[in-house]
Amino acid sequence: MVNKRFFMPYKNNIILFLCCAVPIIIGSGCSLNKTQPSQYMEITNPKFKDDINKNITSLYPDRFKAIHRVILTFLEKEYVLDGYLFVDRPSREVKLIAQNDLGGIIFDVHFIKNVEKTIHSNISMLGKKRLEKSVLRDLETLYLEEPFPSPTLFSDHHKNFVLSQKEGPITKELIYKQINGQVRYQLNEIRHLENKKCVYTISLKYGTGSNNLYPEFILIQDINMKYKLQINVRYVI
Amino acid sequence: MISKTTTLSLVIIAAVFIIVTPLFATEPKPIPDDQLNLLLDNVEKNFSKIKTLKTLLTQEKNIALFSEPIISTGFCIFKSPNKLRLDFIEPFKSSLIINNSQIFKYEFFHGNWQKLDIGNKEMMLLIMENITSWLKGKFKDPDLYEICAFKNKNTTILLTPKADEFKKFISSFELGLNREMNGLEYIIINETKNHYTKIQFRNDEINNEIPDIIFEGSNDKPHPVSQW
Repeated sequence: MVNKRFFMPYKNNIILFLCCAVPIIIGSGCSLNKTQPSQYMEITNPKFKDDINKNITSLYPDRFKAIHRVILTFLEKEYVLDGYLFVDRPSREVKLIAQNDLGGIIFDVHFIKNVEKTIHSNISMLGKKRLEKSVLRDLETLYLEEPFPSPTLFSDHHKNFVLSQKEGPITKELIYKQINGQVRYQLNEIRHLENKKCVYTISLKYGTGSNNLYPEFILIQDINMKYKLQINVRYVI
Repeated sequence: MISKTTTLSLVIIAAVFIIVTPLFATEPKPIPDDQLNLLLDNVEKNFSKIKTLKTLLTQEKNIALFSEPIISTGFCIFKSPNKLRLDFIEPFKSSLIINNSQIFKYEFFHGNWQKLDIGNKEMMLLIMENITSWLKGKFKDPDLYEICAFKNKNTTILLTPKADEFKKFISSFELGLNREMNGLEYIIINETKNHYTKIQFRNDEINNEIPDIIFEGSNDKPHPVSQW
C-alpha cells in the first residue's frame, strides 16, 4: 500500500516538479480551468483602470483592410483559407470574403454590429447559423469590442494586466502587457470563461519590427465548438 | 437645309460608330469544332515534349473588396507525368505537392513550417490533377468541362465547369497559351461575383534535371528548392 512515508524520499523532486508545473499551468492558455492566480493583485485606481479599459478603442486603425491566411482545424483535419477583410470600426462594419487557397469563394459575410448582417455560404457544412456563432463572433471579438462597462482590473509583478467583466454566464478577460519603456499596453490574449472554465481564447502575437503595432499572428480556440484558427495577417492600411 | 444641330448630332453618331465598331470587330470568335480538335491535338503534341518545367509565378487576385489587385509570388515545378509542386513565397509561405496520387500541404506560420493533415484532400487532388493535365497539354475533359478556344494575338482555351456544384465556386478557367503554343503563359480562374485570379508564368526552365526529392512529403517541412 502506498502511504505518506513512500513519498518522503521524493519530497524535493515533487516540490521541484510542482514549482515547474505551476507556471506552466498558469501560462498554458485555454486547456485548464482558470481562476485568478493568487499573485494577481486587484488594482482599484479608477484612472488607471479607465486607461487600460479604453485601450481597446485604439488597438487597430479606424478603417483598414487585411489579408488573412488561415489554417482551420476542425474534427482533427486542417483546411487552408484566404480571408479578405474590410473593417470600419466607427461604423462597426465588417466585410469578409473567405476563399479556398486554390480559388473559389467558401463564404462571405457583411455585417454592421447589432444593425444588419448578410451571410452567404457555398458549403452546406458551414451554414449561416454556424458561421454566425463562429466567424461573426470571432470578428466582433477581434475588431469591434468596446470598453467594458464596469470592469475589475488585476495585475501581477510582470507588468501583465487582466481586465475582467462578467456578461451573463460568461466572464470576459482581456490580458494586456505593458511594453517595456513605453506607456503602451499590448493586448496579448482574450479569454471567455464559463463557470470558471476557459471556453474560448484568442492569443495575439506581434511582429518584432519597429512597426509592430498590430498582431501579425492570431490563434483562436473555441472549446465548445471544437475549432482552432491559426491566422497570419497582413494589413493594408 | 440641314440644321446645325442635326449636323452636329450626325457627326457625334458617326464618331461613336467609328470608335465602337473596331471594339466589336476585335472580339474573338470561338474556333469552330473541327479546327478546335486539330488545335488541341497539335497543342498536346507540342506540350508532350515538356518533361520537366520550373517556372516563377505571379498570382493576381482581383477581389471587389480591394481596389488594387492582391499580388502573391512563388514558383511551380512540374515533372512528367505526375509530380507537381506549387509554392508561394510572398506574402505568405506555403507549399502544395502532388506526387503521383499523394498530396502534401505545408504552411509557414509563426516562424515554423507545419505539415497539414488536410480535410479537403479529394478536392485539392482534383484541382492539382487538373493543373497537371493542363501542363501536359491535355485540356479536354468532357466529364468536367465544356471546352472552346479563341484565337486573338495568342490562343486562349476556355473551360467551363459542367456541374452546378463546381459552378458555385468557379465559373470558368481561361488558359493562355504562349505564341509557340508549347506552353502555358497564364491561367485565369473566373470566380463568382466578378472576382478572378490570374496566375502568370515567367522565366520558364524546360527539361532541366529536377530531383525527385523535392516532391517528397515525408519530412515536417518541404524540401528546399534552389532559386533561379
